[in-house]
Amino acid sequence: MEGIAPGGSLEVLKYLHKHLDDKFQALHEHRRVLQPATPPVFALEHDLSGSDFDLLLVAVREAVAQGLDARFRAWWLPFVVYAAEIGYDYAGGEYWPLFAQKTPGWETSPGWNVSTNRNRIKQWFKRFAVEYGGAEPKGGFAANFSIIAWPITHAVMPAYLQQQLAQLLFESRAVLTMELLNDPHALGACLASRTSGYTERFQIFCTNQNLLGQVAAALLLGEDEESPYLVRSTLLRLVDDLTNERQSRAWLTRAKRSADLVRSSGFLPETSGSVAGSRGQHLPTIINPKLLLRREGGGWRPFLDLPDLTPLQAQHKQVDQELRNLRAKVEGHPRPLARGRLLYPDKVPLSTWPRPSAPVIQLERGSPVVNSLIAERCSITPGPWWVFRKQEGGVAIEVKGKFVRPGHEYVLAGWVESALPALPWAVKATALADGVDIFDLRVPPTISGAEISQLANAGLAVISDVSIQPVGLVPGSWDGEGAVEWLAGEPAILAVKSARSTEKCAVSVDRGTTSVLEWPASKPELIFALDELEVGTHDVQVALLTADTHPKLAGGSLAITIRDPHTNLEKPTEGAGIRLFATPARPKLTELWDGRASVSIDGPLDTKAELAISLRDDAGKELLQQRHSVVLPFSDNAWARLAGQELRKRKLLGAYEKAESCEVSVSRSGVGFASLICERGFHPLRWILIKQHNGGHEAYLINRTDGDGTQVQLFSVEAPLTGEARDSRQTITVPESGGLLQATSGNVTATIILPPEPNRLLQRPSDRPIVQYADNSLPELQRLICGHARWLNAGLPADPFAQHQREIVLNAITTALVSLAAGNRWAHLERKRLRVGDRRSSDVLEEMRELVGEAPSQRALAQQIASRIWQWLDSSATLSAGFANAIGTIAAANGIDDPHTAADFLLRLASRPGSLVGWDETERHRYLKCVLRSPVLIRAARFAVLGTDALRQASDGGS
Amino acid sequence: MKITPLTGGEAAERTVHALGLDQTATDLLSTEAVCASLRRAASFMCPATPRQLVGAVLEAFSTLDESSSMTRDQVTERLDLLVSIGDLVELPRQGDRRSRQLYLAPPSYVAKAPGQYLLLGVRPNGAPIVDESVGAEVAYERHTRSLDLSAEVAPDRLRAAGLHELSREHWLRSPRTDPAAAVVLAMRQRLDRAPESGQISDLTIIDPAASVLYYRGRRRPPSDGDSGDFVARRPQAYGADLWCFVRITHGTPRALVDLPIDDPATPGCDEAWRVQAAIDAVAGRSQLMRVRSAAGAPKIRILDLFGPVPGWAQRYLGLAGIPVSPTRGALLSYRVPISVIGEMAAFVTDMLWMHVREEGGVA
Repeated sequence: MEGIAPGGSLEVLKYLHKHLDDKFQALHEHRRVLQPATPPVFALEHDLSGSDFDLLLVAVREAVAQGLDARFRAWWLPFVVYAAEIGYDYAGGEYWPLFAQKTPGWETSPGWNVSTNRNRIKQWFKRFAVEYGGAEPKGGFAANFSIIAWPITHAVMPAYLQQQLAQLLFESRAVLTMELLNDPHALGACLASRTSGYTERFQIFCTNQNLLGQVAAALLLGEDEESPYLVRSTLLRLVDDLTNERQSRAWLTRAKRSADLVRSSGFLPETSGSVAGSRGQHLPTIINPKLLLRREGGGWRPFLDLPDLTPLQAQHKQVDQELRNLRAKVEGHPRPLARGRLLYPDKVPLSTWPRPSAPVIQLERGSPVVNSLIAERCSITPGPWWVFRKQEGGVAIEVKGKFVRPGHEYVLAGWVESALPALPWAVKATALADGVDIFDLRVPPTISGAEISQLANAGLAVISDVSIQPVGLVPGSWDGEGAVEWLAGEPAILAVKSARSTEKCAVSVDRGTTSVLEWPASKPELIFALDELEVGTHDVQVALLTADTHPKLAGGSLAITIRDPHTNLEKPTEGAGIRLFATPARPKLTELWDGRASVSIDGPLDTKAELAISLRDDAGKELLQQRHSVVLPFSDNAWARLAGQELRKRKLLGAYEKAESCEVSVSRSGVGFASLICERGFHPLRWILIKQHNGGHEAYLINRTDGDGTQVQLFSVEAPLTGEARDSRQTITVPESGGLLQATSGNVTATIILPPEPNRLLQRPSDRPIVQYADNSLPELQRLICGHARWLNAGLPADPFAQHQREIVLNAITTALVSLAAGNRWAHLERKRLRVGDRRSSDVLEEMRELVGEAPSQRALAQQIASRIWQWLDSSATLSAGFANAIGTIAAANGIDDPHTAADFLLRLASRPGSLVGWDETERHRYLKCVLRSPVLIRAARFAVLGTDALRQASDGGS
Repeated sequence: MKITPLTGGEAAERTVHALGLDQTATDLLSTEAVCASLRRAASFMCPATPRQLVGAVLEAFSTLDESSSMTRDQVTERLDLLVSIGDLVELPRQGDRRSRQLYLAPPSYVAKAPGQYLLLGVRPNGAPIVDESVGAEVAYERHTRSLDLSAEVAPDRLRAAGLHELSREHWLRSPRTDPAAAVVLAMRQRLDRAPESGQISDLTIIDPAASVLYYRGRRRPPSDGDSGDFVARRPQAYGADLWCFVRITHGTPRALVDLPIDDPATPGCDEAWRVQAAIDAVAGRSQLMRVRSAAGAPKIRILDLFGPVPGWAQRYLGLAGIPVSPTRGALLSYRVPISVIGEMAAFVTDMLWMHVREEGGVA
C-alpha cells in the first residue's frame, strides 16, 4: 500500500490510535457489565475497514523503518493491532522471524535494540489489558513465552489451529448443553478435556480454557446472533477462514446444528435430584470399571474392564502426563500394566479378587492428586457378594443392582469367608482367582419366601414382576438385567414388561417429575422413549398402577448411562483385528527414535503384516518411508531390534532432523490397520545437527523463546558431568568424540547427544569417560543421578555412534554412583569388571556374590539372587518382581515396607539412576538415605542387574 | 428430558432412523436394517462370537418383531454376508490359534467403478463409517454400503475420513483355478495325514447327496449310513463354530482337519464352501447359477445362487452387481448388467465348477 506522504505515518498512527482507542474503550465498557465474568477484549477485534487496515500496515512499517522513536511510540495501539495480526498468521514456528519478515527494518534499523523493542510490545499489550480489559495470556504457552504469548493470545485463534478447533467442536457436539453454551469457562474446560488426540500445539492453545470457551461459544452461535465474546467482524473473519476448507466447514456446520438444537429445545438438565451433576461439573461421566467373568477351562476367571479415565484431564493438568507415562496397578492383577496402557481399552485378568479397602486402579508413583482423583471417581461395587448374569459366549456380566430373576442363570461371587445362603440351586464352581468363592446359580422359575429372605440377608434381591429392557437400537452395553448404556444423541427406547394385568405405568427419571403412561390394551409390554438424556448416569423408576393410579402393583428400576462418544481413547479398540500399542502412550518422535518408547502389535497369531514408518515435515509432506514385513504378534523386544537396526541408520539422519512427525502404521489387507502418529512436539528450544563433508558435525539452536538469557553448555564424553559455556547464537562444532549440548532458557531445556566422528572411535577405542565423585553423601548421589539423567533424557540423533557414546557415558556414571554408594571393596570390583570385560565376567560376578554382604541374611539374599536370576531374564517386570521377592526381608529391616517399590528403586539406581529424577523427591531422598545406611541394598541390586545382563548376553551369544 | 410413549411401529421407525437408514422406506426386519444392527452390535462387542452378535440383535428386536418372523438362522446368514464382504473378519482369538472370533475390519473402500465406491469395515463404538464431511450419502443395498462421489475428489475425501483404499485386485484375490478333482484330492491327502479325531460332539455335515438347490436342507448330523469325507461344522464353547473337513466311517468321525488351512486370516467358510462346490462337481451334481431376466429392464439380468459361496466369489459378484432380495428358492441374488453375464458365468464355472442355467422367464 502506498499513499502516505513522507512523514505522514506519524499522523496516520495518531489518527488510528484515537480511532482504536474509541473502539476498544466502547467494547470494554460494553463487556464490563456482562456477568458472571467479564469477557476480555482482543486486539484482533479492531474492526478496521479494509482501507484503514492497509493504512495501519504501512504506517507501522514506516515507523519501524524510521527507528520507532518516541514520536511514534506515543501512538502505540496500531502496533498492538499489528502484532496481533502477525499472531493470526503465526503457524507455530518462530514468531519473531515472521514479524521481521513482514516488517522491513525490524532488527536492522540504525541503533535498533531487538530486546528493548520486543519488551516494548509486551508492555503495550499489558497496557492494553489494563486500559481496555484486554486478554491476558494464560496456560502452558504463556508460561514459556512471556512476550509472544501476548500477540498470539490477541490473535484469538491462529489460522493454523482453526481446522482442529472445528474438528473438536464437531466431535464434542453430543455433549453440548444449554448450560455449557451459556458458560464459556465450563465449555472451555469440557472441550480442553477432549483434546488428548490432537496435536501438541493445539493442546497448548487449549490450556487457556477461558479463551477456548469464548471462541467456541462464539463459533457455535446462530447465523444472525451477536456474540458477547467477539465482535461480529472478528467472528465472521474466523468463520470465513474456517469454512474456506471443506471439511472444517462441514464440521462446524454440524456442530452449530447441534448447538441450535440444544438452544431451540431449551433443554436444561434436571436440577432436583439429578444424578448427572451440578453446575460447574460438565465432565463426561467416568464409568466405573466393570467386573466380568469368563469361563475358562472349567472355571470362572474374573476380569476388570478398564474404564476411560481421560475425562479426568479436565480436573487436573497432570492427569494426561501421568496416564501416558506411568505404570498402573490394578487391584487383583499381579503385575503393573505397561506405561500408558490405561489409555487403551482392555480387559485385565485378575488373579486375586479386588480388596474393598484398596483403590481399584492407581498409578505407580503417581501424584497424590491424580491418584486421589482416580480413587474417588473409579471404584467397583461393594461386596461381599457380586451377581453376574450369564451371557452367550461363556461370559458373565456383573449385575450392579445385585438382583436375580426367577428362571435365569447367574454366577455369584463372594469373599471366601462370606457365608452363602443355603440354596439348593447354588452349585459351587471353580474360581480361577484367589480370595473368592464362585457359585453357579440356576434360579428356579418359582422361589420360596424363605429363599427370598436368605438372599436378602446376603444383600441380594429377587425381581419377578417387572422387567425393563432396551429395545430397537442395540445398546452400547446391556447387562441383561438392570444397567444399559447408549451414546449421547441416540434414542433410549425401553420396554416395560409385566405378567400382571395393569392399566397405567408411572415413569420417573432421576427422581424428577413422574409421567403416568397408559398401558396399551391387550399388550404384554409398554414401549416408551427417553429423549435428550444428558451425558451421565440416570436412574429410571417404573411403577405399575391400577386405573386409579393407586396402589402400586409392582415396580422396577433401570440404570441408564449415556456415554460421551468422544474420541479420547486411543484408536486400537479391542475389536480391531490388529492393535498397535505404544509404551508410553502417545510417544514423541524423539522418544521413539532414541528407544525411550516402544511399540508392540497384537494380531492373529503367525500372520504376516506390513509395518510402515513414515517421516513427515511440518506441512505433513512425506520425507521418507520405510516398509518392513513383520509377523504378528510383534513384541516390544521385536520393535527394539527393528529400531536398533533401522531407525538409527546414518542415511536417515537428514530426514529425521527435518521431520516434525512420524507415522507408524501396521496393516494387513482385509484384516486390520492401526497407526500411531508421533509428533516431535512443540519445543521452544530445538537443536539441529548438520553433517559436514569431512564427516564431522555442526550444531545450531532454533530458539523460539523470547530470546534473551538462553544459556548453552557443552559436555564432552571425556568429562560428561562438566559443562563448558557456548554462545547460543553461534553454530557449534561438535567435538570428535561427540558429547552433549544443553540449552536452557528459563524453565525450558533442550539437550542433544552429539555424534562422534567414527574414525576417531576406531583410532582410540579405549578412551573412556572419567567421572569424578567426592564423598559418600546424599548431595553427591543426587549430583550423579542428575548428571545421568541429563545424558539419559537427551535427544538422540539418528546416528548409531551417538548412541554408543551415550551408553559409554551412562555406564560410566552408573558405575561411579554404585562405587560411591556400595563401598570401597565393591568399587574395586567394579573397576576390575571394566578391566576384564566379558572375558572373565563370571569370575567377577562370583566375587560380587561373595561381597553382597557378610551377615547370614545378606549371604542368603545373595545366594537367592544367584540361584534365581535365570528366571528373571524375560523382562524388566520379571526381574523387578523376582528381586522384590528376594529383597523383602532386608528391605523391611531397613524401614522399607513395600518391597516392589524398593525393588524398582534399587534396580533403577543400579542400572539407570537417571530414571529416578521423575520420582517424588521426598521418596527418592528417603530411599537414598536407606542405601547410604545399608549399602547391601545397592550391592544386591547391582549383582542382580549385572547377573541378568551376563546371562542374557550368554544366552544371546549361544543362540 | 422427555418421556414419549411409542407403539411398536414407532419404536421400529426410530430405530431404523437411528441406524442411519431411511425409516420411510426401510423396515426394521429388512436385510439393510438387520445388517446395520449387526454392524452396530459388533462395533461395541467385538471381539465376539457370531452367537453373541446374533443374540444381541435378536434381543433388541424381539419386542418389536410381533410376529416372530426373524429367526436366529436368518440373522446368522446376514452376519455371514457381512463376513464375506469384509465388514467383519473372522480371526483366531489373539494368543489362541484354535479358537476363532469376529473382529472389526478396518474402515476401507473399494472403487467399483470411477465415482462408485463400496464401503467396508466397521468403526468401534457405534461411529458411522463416514459422516457428512465426505459430501455424499451412503446407499444401503442389502448387506452392502456404497456411495457415489466424483472420482476427482473421492480419494482425498475418503482418506480424510480415515478410510483406507483397497485395490480391486487385492480385494478380489481368489484361489488359483484348479480342477475340482484336484481340490478334493488335496483335501483328502491332508485327511490321510491327520491324526485320529476321537469323538466330536454336535458335528454337522453338509450332505453331498442332498439337493444343491436348498442349502439349509443339506446340513445335518452324521448318521450310521454315512461313510466318506465331508465338509462339516463343529461348535465351540466360546468361539465361532469351526469349519472342518472330516472323514467319517459309519457315522463315526475318524480324522479331521480344521479350516482354514492356508491362511489363518481368512474365514474357514471360504475354504469349506469351495471344497463343497468341488465335491458336488466331482459327484456330477455341480452347484447352480441361474440367470433370468429382470422385469422391465432388458439390459439387466438376475443371478440366483442356491448355496453359499466363498467371500472372494461374493465380492466378485458384488462388484459388478447389486445384491437384491433372493426369490424363488435362491440363497443369494444379484442384479447385474447383461454385458457382464458372460464374464460372471465364466468366473463361477472356472472357480466353483458351477453349472450356469439361463432361463427365459421374467423375475
